[in-house]
Amino acid sequence: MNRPLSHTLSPSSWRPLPQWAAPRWIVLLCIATALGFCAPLSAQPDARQMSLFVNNCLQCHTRAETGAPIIGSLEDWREIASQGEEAILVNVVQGIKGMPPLGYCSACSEEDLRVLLRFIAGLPEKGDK
Amino acid sequence: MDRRKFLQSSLALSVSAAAAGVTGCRQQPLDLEPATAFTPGEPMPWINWAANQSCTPQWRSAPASVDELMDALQTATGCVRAVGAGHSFSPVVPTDDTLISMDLLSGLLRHDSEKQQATLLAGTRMHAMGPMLHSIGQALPNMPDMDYPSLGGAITNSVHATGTAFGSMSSYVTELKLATLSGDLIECSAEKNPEIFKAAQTSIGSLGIVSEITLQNQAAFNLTEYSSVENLNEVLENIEERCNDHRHFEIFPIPYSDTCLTIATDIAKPGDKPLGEDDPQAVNTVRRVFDATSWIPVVGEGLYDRILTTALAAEVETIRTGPSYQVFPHVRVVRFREMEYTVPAEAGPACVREILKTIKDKHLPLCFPLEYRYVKGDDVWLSMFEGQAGCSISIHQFGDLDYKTPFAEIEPIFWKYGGRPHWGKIHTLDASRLAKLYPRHWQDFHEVRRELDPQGKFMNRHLHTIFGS
Repeated sequence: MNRPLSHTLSPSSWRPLPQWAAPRWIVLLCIATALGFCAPLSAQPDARQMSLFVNNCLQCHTRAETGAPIIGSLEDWREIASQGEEAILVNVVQGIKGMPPLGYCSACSEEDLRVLLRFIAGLPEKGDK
Repeated sequence: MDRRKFLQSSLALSVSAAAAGVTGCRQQPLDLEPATAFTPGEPMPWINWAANQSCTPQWRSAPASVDELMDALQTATGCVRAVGAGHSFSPVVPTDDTLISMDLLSGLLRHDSEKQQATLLAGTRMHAMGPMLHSIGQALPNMPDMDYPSLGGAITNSVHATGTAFGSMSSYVTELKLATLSGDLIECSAEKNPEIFKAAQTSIGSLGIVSEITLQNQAAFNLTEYSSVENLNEVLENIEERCNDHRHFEIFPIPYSDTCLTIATDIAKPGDKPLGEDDPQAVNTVRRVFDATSWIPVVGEGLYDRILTTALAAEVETIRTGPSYQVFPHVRVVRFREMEYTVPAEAGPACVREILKTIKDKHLPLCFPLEYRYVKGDDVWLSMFEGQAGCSISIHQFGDLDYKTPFAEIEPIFWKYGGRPHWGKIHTLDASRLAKLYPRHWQDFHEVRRELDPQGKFMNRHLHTIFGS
């Protein structure tokens, strides 16, 4: 029986990151900690979504030379964040400028992308003010 | 002053002096709609990096283990395709039925320090592989100049880098596991299921889904890369010597110019230091110079060449040095579309000269630098390098400009030189013509394919075109 994406990507399907990824987790924790001090971070990616983040988003949004807005930089995200979540989501899926369609993440569902863009851009959870 | 600022200031001075206030007739960017428009709440499309391929599959799966991959294949309906990073320009991925994302099948499974081999899950991105292998004291002997693709995608499409002593990524595979629709997980290597192995090393995803790949690596090493601006004809006249002098050597010829960028990469020496910066936006600067000058009657092309030559020649060479996995790849953020063919190595100089002459003679709107690389021959049945060393020549067009018309003018030149198209890049060949380019093993490959996928469930429209029924 075929399963739609939302079912296939249920939280039960995630697995721990392999051993090699430990240093990146440390980096990630540092980033998240830093964000906690400088941005209204309220998105809570689960472990599977964190794997998607490490495989995809991290390769550009932590490297200034790519020109991508850097995670944790309020200045980089201010103008983008002002567009609102729906507009950002459309740009993420369709791609814009150097941002590849879907942010390279072919495994991401719409909900995954919403959680990750809130996490990366420091957007509030939907409904938050 | 860095290269970008120098080019921009040179451009401003030259153009204002030559043609202030005159309206140009250069090719205008296309008013492109997105490959597939997305509305939140509606089914989400899949779109490739270049945004020239898309689909909206009815079912999508993202297995996080090999067992889940096997389950997904058992329940798959209709045409089944796998996707990694989505960096192919050709329509190898689109399916309206079942799309299996390999994103979560990522990581290092095991390694053998004595043999310098490592086994990785096929969804592992190349940008993650470098640190993974470095942590166990290993490194890929060679790597493409960008590290966005997944390992599985790189293998199935015979992705390659440059270096006359180095084969494609597929040629470094010593073992792999192939998940099939019949529920088997086939282990294959040169000793075990050798025919399936030779077919699966480059299969364009037509046999099943590769789940694990063992690579022949080498001890971790450091590299130093030198980028220089040179005269193309002088480089081509001594191309064999230039390639022999360096571990890796490649050229970026610039259309409408005698100038080219050369990149020579060698094992780092003690004391090597970086110099200058890699500029991911450099091609946009070239485009602005081209747009600002090429339309000017009579003198435009000469002016363009002079500005580029003057500006680039004044720039000191760029040096990058460090661990190999950091030096091989470059940042690629400017969207483009690409056609690439591999011609026999000895035909490379004549082929690229004819392409550049054709662009100039026909005034084709192509200013994006070409890429010119050499790759060692191999014995992978459908590798572009099967049975012969190859010279791979890539043509690019900016992502917001028409690529079909200029590519159609260039593609017959590749045919004239016996070129084989890159499976993951744009080309127009069908099965009848491709079969002639692979006379030794075309039938062998399809016998294996029909045995493993008798119903052709891994065949999308594009694969039906390139492989036939």
